[in-house]
Amino acid sequence: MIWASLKRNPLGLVGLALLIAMLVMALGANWIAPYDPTRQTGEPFEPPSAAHWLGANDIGQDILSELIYGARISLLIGVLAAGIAMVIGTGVGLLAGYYRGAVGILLMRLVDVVLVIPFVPLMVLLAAYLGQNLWNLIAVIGLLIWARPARVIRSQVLSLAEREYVTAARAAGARDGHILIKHILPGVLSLALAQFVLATSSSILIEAYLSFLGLGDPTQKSWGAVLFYAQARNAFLSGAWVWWVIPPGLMITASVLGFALLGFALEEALNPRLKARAATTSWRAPTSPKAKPAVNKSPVSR
Amino acid sequence: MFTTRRFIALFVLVGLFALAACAAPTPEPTKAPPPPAATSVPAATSVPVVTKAPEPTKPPAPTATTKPVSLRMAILADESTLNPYTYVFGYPGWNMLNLVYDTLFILDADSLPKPWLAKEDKISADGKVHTITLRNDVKWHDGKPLTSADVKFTYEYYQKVVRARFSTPVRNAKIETPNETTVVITLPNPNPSFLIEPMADAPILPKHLWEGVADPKKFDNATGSGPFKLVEYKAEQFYRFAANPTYFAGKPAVDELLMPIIKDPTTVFSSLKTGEIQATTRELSPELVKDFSSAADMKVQRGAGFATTLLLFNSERAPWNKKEVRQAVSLAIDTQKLVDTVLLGFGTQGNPGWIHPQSPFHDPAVKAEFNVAKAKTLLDNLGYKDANNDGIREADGKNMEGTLLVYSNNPQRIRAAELIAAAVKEIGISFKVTALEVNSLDAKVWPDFDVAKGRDFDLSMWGWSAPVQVNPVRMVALVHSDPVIGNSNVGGYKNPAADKLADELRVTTDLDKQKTLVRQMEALIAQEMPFVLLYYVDGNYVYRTAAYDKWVYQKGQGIFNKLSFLPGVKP
Repeated sequence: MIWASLKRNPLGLVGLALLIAMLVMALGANWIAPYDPTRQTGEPFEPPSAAHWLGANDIGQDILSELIYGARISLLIGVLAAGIAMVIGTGVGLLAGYYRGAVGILLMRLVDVVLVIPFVPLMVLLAAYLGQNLWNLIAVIGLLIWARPARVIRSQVLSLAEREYVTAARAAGARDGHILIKHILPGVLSLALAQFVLATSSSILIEAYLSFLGLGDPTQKSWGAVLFYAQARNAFLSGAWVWWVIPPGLMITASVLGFALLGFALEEALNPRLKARAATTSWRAPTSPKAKPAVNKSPVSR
Repeated sequence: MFTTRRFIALFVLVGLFALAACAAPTPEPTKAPPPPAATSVPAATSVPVVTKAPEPTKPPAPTATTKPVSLRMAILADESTLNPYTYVFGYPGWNMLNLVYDTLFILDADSLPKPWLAKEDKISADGKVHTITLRNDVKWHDGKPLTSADVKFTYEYYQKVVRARFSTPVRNAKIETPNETTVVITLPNPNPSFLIEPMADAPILPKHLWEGVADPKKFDNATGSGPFKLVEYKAEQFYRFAANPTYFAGKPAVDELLMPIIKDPTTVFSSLKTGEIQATTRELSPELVKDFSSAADMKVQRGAGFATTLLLFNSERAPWNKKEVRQAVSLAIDTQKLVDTVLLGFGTQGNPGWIHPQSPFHDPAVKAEFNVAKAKTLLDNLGYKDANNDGIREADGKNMEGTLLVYSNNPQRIRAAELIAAAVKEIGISFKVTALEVNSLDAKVWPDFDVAKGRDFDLSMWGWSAPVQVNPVRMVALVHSDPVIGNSNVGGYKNPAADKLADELRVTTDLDKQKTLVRQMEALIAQEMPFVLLYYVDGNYVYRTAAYDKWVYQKGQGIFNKLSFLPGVKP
């Protein structure tokens, strides 16, 4: 069903293609990259040449290879941080949606608090206290972005909890834990998947942002770290930004865009309310001519 | 639902925007500088305001040649109100302080102490009594004469109200003033570096204004005797100095000096390119030297830099407590390659004996050595071999590995650390480079800036500022095992022979004997390797020649000094 819906969404397919490309790059870095990015293979600040398509960085490492290997770090951070966010977000969403009393209110206020935490100052603090390494970065990003998925999932739980089969289960004497896990969780899993993809997208961007500011782990070759060195070694003043800043920028944009497009598409395919909206509005102009008749045939519209 | 979408879409947009902005030639908008982003943005935006209105009576167009010289020289951080207790950074804060105040001696272009407010200093045979004769033509900015009473008051004030830099060198000194122009200082012990610290370092304060000041941090009267008067200071924005026309060494060649605070180095140098500022206290990064040197209206002055960059061992922790291990690490590192790669050649290879090769105290016989085979032999002879074939040798059953700490805000040093880690791998030692935020690193290596509090690290990238190198007797502080005398011995190095030599050096005032002892100490450090001296970064300072071009490069310390504004004055 997901695939069927996705097939009708060209933007979603573009996103999927971008992600597959990134994934291939990350997994096949050993074979694709022309050099080992940790070795000095060129002159420091070497401009692009046949040997080094994107030139060399400040200590003569091949920038193209850095970017290809960087896909590993950036995707790893994105996926793991999003994973943390989803575990917390799904848990909080389930509980807050199911227990609508004091527990729900308390949890939702917590969500509100997390939503407004300014993460740069927090990151500075955590970098100082925990040390700047990859795992801390992942944990911090995960802890900062779970609130939005939690809200989305809660709203779905609110509706699921009123369904007849849930009422029936309760009447039959099922315990809350049983109902939550057996009856409600399956109903939000597909939604969680879409949220996970979107969270990955923001994690990658946040990582790049923090690393660029020097708050990430400067000894890891993520795309943000490449930008950090480009900025620190004055690529903007010396003209080297053409090959040292734009390519990592494009990589970040492409992966964020890929995850975001796929996320939107999945959300649309999996979230019943959005599906209905997509059928009645044409806010996504590029897809509307084809999508409309197709969606009209869908069971929900009938 | 839509808010989530918008949120994500916004992120994507921001990414695209960042790119678009990066592509623009003048990149200020993207230069959100690191941590204190919130405070730095207003500072950066305030700069144009400052530069627009330096003084209403002086239109910026430099048409007539008789116009007073006005100079805009950017600094990178606020230095607070300028008094000896409030200025923030040793550089450029102390140098700014010295535009307003004077010292008894001054460091000349070779960084050697020469008389300034003092006409001469006679040292007694036992080295304990300094009889200083003052000039009699020096006046405070308010017209009152500067006399021996001011000197006595100032040094006693430093004894009473502590700021370590100025207070430590005058501790337990007795000061007498037989007449208006004579000061007699009696020290408990001879101090060979007394001419440098405090004489050429501690600013003399006006007694008639400072008497009764209990909390100098709240006292913001910057009346001094120096070549400039501080006429305006706007926190986080700028300092404005005006020439002191009655300065005893002559009126400075710059009539107005405006020092805007621009926190982002990239903005500093792009402002220099556009002519919004004409000079900066900030050194030019190696990668920009070529670009700025070729500009017709700018000049880059290059000179030796005395600031050091070193690889520090925790000499209390195995296996780094073994001299041979430290020697092997040193032999494995090609410091010339570090200079060529990290500094693009704009630096000087480290002298393992600490002293900069251009210092008059350096012994040319002491040289850096790069010899991987010899390093391996040293370790083999200790019996430290790679028995389990994992590429890392074992020392007494434990892998020879350690964490190499480095400041996360210093990309140059991170790169050097990475190259060092790769180099020692060749001899079977594993360094794991870990970048730490400045305060966290200091807390591990130099807790509370007090070596008596111990240390918790294996290895660290480290460095000392230029003044530590200017005064060769400071070597004592680097190696002495007593935490009070060896207050810069951050690696916890301990060796009775070094202590003995240091004890002799720190009380020797005879210059020839001092030179001999300094050379012995240099040889000892090169042999013992409490640290590996990696390199000294050369200073490259760029300025616009049309605005002002009489800068004096003070050896090892750069162009921002009092003498740069007093052309022709040779102390």
